[in-house]
Amino acid sequence: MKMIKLFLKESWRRIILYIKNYFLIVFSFIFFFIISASFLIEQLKFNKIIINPIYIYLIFIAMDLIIIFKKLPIFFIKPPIIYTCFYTDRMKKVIYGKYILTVFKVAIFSLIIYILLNSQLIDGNIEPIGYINILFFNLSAAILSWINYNNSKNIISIFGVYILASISLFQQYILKLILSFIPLIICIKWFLKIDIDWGKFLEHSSYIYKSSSIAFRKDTAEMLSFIMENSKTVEYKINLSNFKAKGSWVIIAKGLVELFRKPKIFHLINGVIFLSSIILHSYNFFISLMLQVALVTNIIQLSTENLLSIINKQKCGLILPFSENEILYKTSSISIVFISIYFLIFTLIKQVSILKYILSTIIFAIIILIVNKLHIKLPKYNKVITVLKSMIYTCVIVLFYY
Amino acid sequence: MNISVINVSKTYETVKALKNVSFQLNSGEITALIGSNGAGKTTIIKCLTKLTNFDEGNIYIDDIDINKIKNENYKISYIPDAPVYFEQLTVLENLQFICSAYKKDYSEISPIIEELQLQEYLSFFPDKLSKGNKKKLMIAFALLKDFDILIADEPFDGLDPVLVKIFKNILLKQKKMGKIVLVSTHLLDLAQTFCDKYVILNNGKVLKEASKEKLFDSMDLVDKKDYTVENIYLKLLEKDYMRDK
Repeated sequence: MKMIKLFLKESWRRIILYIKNYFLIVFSFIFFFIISASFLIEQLKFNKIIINPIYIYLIFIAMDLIIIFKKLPIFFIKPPIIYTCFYTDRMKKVIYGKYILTVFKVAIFSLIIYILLNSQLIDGNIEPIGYINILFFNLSAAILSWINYNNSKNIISIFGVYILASISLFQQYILKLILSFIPLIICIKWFLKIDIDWGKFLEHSSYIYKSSSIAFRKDTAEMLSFIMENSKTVEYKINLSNFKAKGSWVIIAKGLVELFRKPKIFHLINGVIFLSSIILHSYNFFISLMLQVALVTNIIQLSTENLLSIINKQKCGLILPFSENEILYKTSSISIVFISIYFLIFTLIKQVSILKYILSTIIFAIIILIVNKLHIKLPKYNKVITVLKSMIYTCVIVLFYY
Repeated sequence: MNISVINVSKTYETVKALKNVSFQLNSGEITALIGSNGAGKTTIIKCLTKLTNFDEGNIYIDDIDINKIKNENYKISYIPDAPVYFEQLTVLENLQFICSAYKKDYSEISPIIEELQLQEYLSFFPDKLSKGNKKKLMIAFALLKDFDILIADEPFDGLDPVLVKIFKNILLKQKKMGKIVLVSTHLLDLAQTFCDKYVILNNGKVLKEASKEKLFDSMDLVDKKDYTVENIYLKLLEKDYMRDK
C-alpha cells in the first residue's frame, strides 16, 4: 500500500510539473481563443454538415488499424515499477491493473465516439446498441494491438479477426452485436495465452516514460537531444563545411544548417501558412493576420533557438571566443533577412509604400534584437517574453499592412 | 605564466561551496584537483573558467584580474564533466564549428581525431555516441581551441585504458609546451602517475596544496607502502574530520 502511495505521489508531482510548465501556454491559448472566437464566428459561416456514417466508420477502422500495428505498446508501465516489482507477486497486480485501466479508457473513448456519431452534425441513425458495438470493436482492436506487440499471433490471423470486427460496424441490430462479440471472444482467448515480451516492453516503457518526463519538464534542449538520440542516422546534403564560414560567421552557418535539417513537416506547415496568408490577405483580414503572426513568430523563433542553444552551451562549459553581442547579432540576422524578404513580397502584393516597408522592417529588426536580448538577460521569463512578443508582432503587422 | 587563486569564496543559496580557497597554478605543470563529491572541485573550476561568479576573493592570471579579461580574449580550454555539443550538428560539423570559431583550418581536425580514434564516428550525431566517445569529443574540442590554460573536469570518466593512456600523453605534451594544466579527478592512483602538484579540497576549503615530494614529506608515514596519494588523501580527510568534531 505504501508503495502505491509513493507511485501515486510521483504521478501527482508529474501532473503538477506539467500544469506549472504549460499553464502560461494553455492560459494564453484560451485567452486568444476567447478574443478570436467573436471574430471567427463572424468570419466563418457554419453550415450544418451532413456526413454519411459510413465515412466516419471507415476513418474509425483506419485509425484502429494504426493502433493495432503501431510499434509502441497500447499502455506502458513506469520503468521504476517494473524494476522494483518484476521479481515479486506485485507485478501481476500491476499488469492486471493496467489491463483494467485500459478497458476503462477504451470504454470512455467509445462513449465519446458514440456521442459524436449521434450528435446533430451527423445525419445518421445510430441506435443505443451502437455503443456496445463500438465498445466491443475498440476492445478487440486494443487486445489485437497488445497481441501484435507481443508477437503472439501472426499478422494474417490478427488482420482476419479485425476485418470480422470491422464488418459488424456496418450491420444492423442483433447482427451488429453478434458480429462484434465473436471477434472479441477470439481476442480474449488469444489474450489469455499471451507471453509478454518483457525486454521489448521495458525498453519501450522507458522510452515513453523518459520522453513524457522531458515534455512535462518542457526542457526543449533535452527533448532535442532525446529526439536525436532516438532518430536514424541520415546523410545530409547541406553541411557546415559548405559555408566555409570563419570566426563568428559560423554562427549564421550553424543556424542555416539547422534550419535545413528541420523536419519536412516544419517546412511544409510554414510553406502552407506562407501561401495561405498571401492568398487570403484580400479576402479575410482576421485569418490572414493570424497566419502572418504565426509565420513571423516561427521565423523569429529560429533565431531565438539558435541564440539560446549557443548561450546555454556556453553556460554549460562549451567556451567559445564570441562576445554576447556577436552571438546576438549573428543569430538574429537570419530572422531579419527572412522577415525582410517576406515583407517585401507582401509590400509588392498589397502595394504598400516602400517607405512603410523599410520602416516596418527596421522596427521588426529592432524588436527581434530587443526580444533576443531579453531572452539572454531574463531567461527565467522566457515564457512571458514569448507571449508578449507575439502580441507586439501582431500590432506591428496591423499598423503597417492593414 | 601562473594563476593565483586568492581567498575565493562562493555560496549557493545557503550552501557555502567554497571557503577562502587559495592556491596557485603554474605553467609547465599538471595540477590535480582532488576531493570527495561536493568538496567544491567543480565550483572552483567554474570560477576559473568564468562560468560562475565568486562572491569574495580574486583570481589573477599573471597579475591580471580574470574579471577584467573579456571572454573572447580568455585563452582557456575546458573539458566539462558533462558533455556539451550542438545536437543537430554531426561530430565532424561540431569539430568544424570549433575550428571556424577560432579561425583555424579544417586540416587541424584530422590529427586530433586520429589520435583520439574518432574517425568512424564523424558522421554520427553526438547524442548517438557512447559515454566514452562523447568524452573523446570533448577532449577533441578542447585541443582544437587556442589556449594557454587547460582545465579538465573528470576527464578520465568513461575512457577505456587505451584512451586513458592516450589522454595522459596529451596532457604531458601540453605540459611540455608550457601550458597550465588543471585536472580534477577521483582516480588518485592514476593522478599520481602524471601530476606534479596536488590541491586537496574538502568541504569547500583547501586541505593541502603541495608538489608530490612535499606532500609525501609533510605526512607522518610509517610504512613505505603508505606512500600513495590515496593514503595521504584519506589521512588528511580523517584529520579534517577529527578537527571539525
